[in-house]
Amino acid sequence: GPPPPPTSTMSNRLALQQQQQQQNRWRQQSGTFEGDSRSSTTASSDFIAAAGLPRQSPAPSLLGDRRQQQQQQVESNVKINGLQMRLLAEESARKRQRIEADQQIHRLRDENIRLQSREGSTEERSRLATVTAELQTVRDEYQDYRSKTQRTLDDCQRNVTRLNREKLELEERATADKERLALELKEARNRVFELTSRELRMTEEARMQAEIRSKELSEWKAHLAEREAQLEESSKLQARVNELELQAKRHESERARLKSANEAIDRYEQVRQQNARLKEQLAAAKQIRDDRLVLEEENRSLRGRLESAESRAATLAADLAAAQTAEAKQSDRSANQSLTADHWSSESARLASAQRELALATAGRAELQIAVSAAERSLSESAAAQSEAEAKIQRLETELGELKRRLRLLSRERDMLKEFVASYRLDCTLGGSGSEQAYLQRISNMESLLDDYKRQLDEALAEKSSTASAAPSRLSLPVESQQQQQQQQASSRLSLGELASKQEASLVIELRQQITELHKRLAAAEEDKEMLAAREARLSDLGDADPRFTRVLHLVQNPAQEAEEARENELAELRKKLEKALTRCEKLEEKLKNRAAAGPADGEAAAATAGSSAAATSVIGDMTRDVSMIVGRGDLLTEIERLKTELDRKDLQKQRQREAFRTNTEKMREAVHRLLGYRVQLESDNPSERLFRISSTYVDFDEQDSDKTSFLFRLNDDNVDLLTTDYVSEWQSDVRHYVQERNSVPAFLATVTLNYFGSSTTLVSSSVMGATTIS
Amino acid sequence: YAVNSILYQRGIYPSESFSFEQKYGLTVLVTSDEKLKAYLIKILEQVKQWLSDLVIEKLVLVIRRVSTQEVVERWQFDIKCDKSAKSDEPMVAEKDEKQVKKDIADVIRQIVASVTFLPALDFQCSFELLIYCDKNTELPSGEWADTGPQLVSNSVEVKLKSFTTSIHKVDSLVAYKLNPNE
Repeated sequence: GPPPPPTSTMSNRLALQQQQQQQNRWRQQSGTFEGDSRSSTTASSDFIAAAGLPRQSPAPSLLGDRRQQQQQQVESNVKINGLQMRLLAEESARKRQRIEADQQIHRLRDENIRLQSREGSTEERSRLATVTAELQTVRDEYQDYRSKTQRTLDDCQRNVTRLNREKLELEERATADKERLALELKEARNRVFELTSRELRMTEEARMQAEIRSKELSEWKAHLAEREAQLEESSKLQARVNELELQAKRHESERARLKSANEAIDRYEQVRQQNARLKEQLAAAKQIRDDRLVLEEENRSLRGRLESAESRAATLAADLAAAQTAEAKQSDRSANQSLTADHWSSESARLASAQRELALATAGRAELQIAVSAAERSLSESAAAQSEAEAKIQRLETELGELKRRLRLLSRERDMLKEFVASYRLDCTLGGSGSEQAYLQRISNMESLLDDYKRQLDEALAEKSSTASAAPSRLSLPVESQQQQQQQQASSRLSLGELASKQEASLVIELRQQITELHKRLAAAEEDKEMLAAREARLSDLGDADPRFTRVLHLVQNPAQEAEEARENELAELRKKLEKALTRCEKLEEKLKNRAAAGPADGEAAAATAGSSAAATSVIGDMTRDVSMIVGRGDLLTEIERLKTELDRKDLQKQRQREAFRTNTEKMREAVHRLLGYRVQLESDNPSERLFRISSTYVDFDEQDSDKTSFLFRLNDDNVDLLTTDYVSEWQSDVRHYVQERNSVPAFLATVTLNYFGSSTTLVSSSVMGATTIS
Repeated sequence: YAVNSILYQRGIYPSESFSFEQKYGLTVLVTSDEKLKAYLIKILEQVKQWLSDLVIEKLVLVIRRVSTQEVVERWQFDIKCDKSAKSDEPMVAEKDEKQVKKDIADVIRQIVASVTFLPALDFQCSFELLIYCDKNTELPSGEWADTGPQLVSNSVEVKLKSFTTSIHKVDSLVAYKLNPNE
């Protein structure tokens, strides 16, 4: 404020100096204040510019804009607050200055008044005038300054109100935006979270799938390699299978050949039988030929007879003609034929007989002709059959030889192929996982082959049956029977073959079933393997450790462990409290029951009549006290029990110690007795008296512990007193010599012992003088 | 710093027991609990030793519910070491230190941002640090012991950013129970 007017010369000078200093200070403050006001104005303008937040903040929709707006708002709030603070500070400073200025003005006025009152000297008056002028200038300046500051203050106030208004608007807008943004943010966050989680999940799934795929790929590659190896193996096996199939085919063909050979053998047997039959037939044919020859002979003879008969018949006919002529002549000569009648009767009888013979011969000739034709026929047939049989026999014999040769070869091959087939069957039954398909294929091929063979066999049998039916009839009767036998044998053989094929078929079916089951199990095992591998991969990503390669370490004392221990301790304490509370509750309940049983009405009546809760409280307090006592008693009882057990233990310990002490004491006494020759005993039960009775070992046991045969000693702290007894009087000289004069009880006792020893030795030696032994 | 951030963000320790520090261009929180500090220092010193020996595989922060001892959250840092770098001669870093610090800062930012999706832990929790190392690693003292992996059952996993130095690569992952309060 303006400087005060001076009062006296020195004081006035001092006052003037003070005033000048104050003026300077005031000017400086005003300057700073102006500067501050200017700065505040600029600050407010800066604030306005800085806080020139957009009237309409852009509508943020994303978290970034929201953050920026928040930051801007925070900054603006900070600036506003700062400026407000500054404004307030400046205002308060201005107020203070104003107050100071007013005070100075008042002081100056007072000074002025005082000076004016003391008007006496012109110097003072002039000084007063100057001071007054200065005061006026200061006042004017102050007024200017005040007006200026007031203007700035008003400006600042206006700015502040405007800013506050803007701030309110901004805040309102910000709250609305905030709410909207919060909603949007929440939605965005949720979306982001969903998207992020989805993305992460998808990436994780994709990564896992990629890993799984890569693992699958590696597995498939390994599998492919395995399959390739298996393919190679299967190709090898296929080649082997082909070989085996060829061998099997060969075997089958050989078997067929064997079968055919067997059949041929059978046929050979049949043929042989047939041959035998044919031979029989041939023999029969030969017989027939012989018969024919015979018949021819007979025929020739019959012919001859027939010729003769014919000639005879011719002659007879000629005779008959002659006879007839003669008869004609006779007729003429009838008269004179009496002599020739007899001749003619005889001749006619002879003619009749000749005719009869001729008829018979003719009939015989016819029969013979028939028989000859039949015989010729049968002969021709038998010749044809014979030739046929011979041809067949030759053919069969050649076949038989060939078949025998082949049979020998086939038997050898059969044995070899049997071994192959056995190994083949072993391969079929064992089967590997990798060649299942090949085996299946093989089995199917075998089945088809088997079907073909069956079909061929049926055709062969049908053909055979058809050929058997086309054989010659007469001679085929036995052949038919033979064929029937052959059919039966073939059918039986076929049934055996069928049985064998059925067995093989059942084996094949069984194998196929086993293979399908194994295949299913393999597929299931592979699926499990994939699942476990994926699970293992996932667990390893999640942090599972393979103990073969990794170990998981931790500090034994860690926060989790400490928290757990603290919790356990807390739980234990709580349990203890709970138990105490439960016992307390039980006791309370018992007490209540007892009270209820004893006189529930009394307490309640008392409480009712008391009409206040104090009586009830006192009742409850009594009960609580009782319960506390009971609970405490319970504690005390347990304590007592514990102490009792402790006491018993201590008693036992004490008793054992006593026994041990007694035992040791006895041992010590015995040792002392033996070593030093004196029995030491405590004379009185009071150990504080320390009175000992000492008896020599050379005194009879029965006489020990009496005043006549033992010493009494009292042990003091610094010496030993020998008490006077009858026994001491016997050793007076030694007592005087050792105890009284030399103060040595051990020497006295040793002397007594030696005396006893000497006397006992003398007695023994004197008693056994004759033996000259000293005991 | 990541461990401290996790402990602060998940509310394992009260927030007033943490103080601010500037690191990696970020304002990170560091515990002022002396006991916890001692525990972390002890562990991390050993981790440092094992890092230089290139035998460490993972560092895992396990958060357990105190009442049931159930693992509710698991922060896993997979450390892949370049074994060829193991030598007595000091190696010159091939990667710019600034870039490494930036990567680390990104990881810490991500840890801080993870609170947006991690479920709140409305029960008393405790934590523990596990170290996965090579099978042949010797125990440094009797204070260390073997333990199990302590996995989270029915967990949801979120992979965080990774960062690399010239020798080590660190992958981060957090596994948590979706509804730990059930």
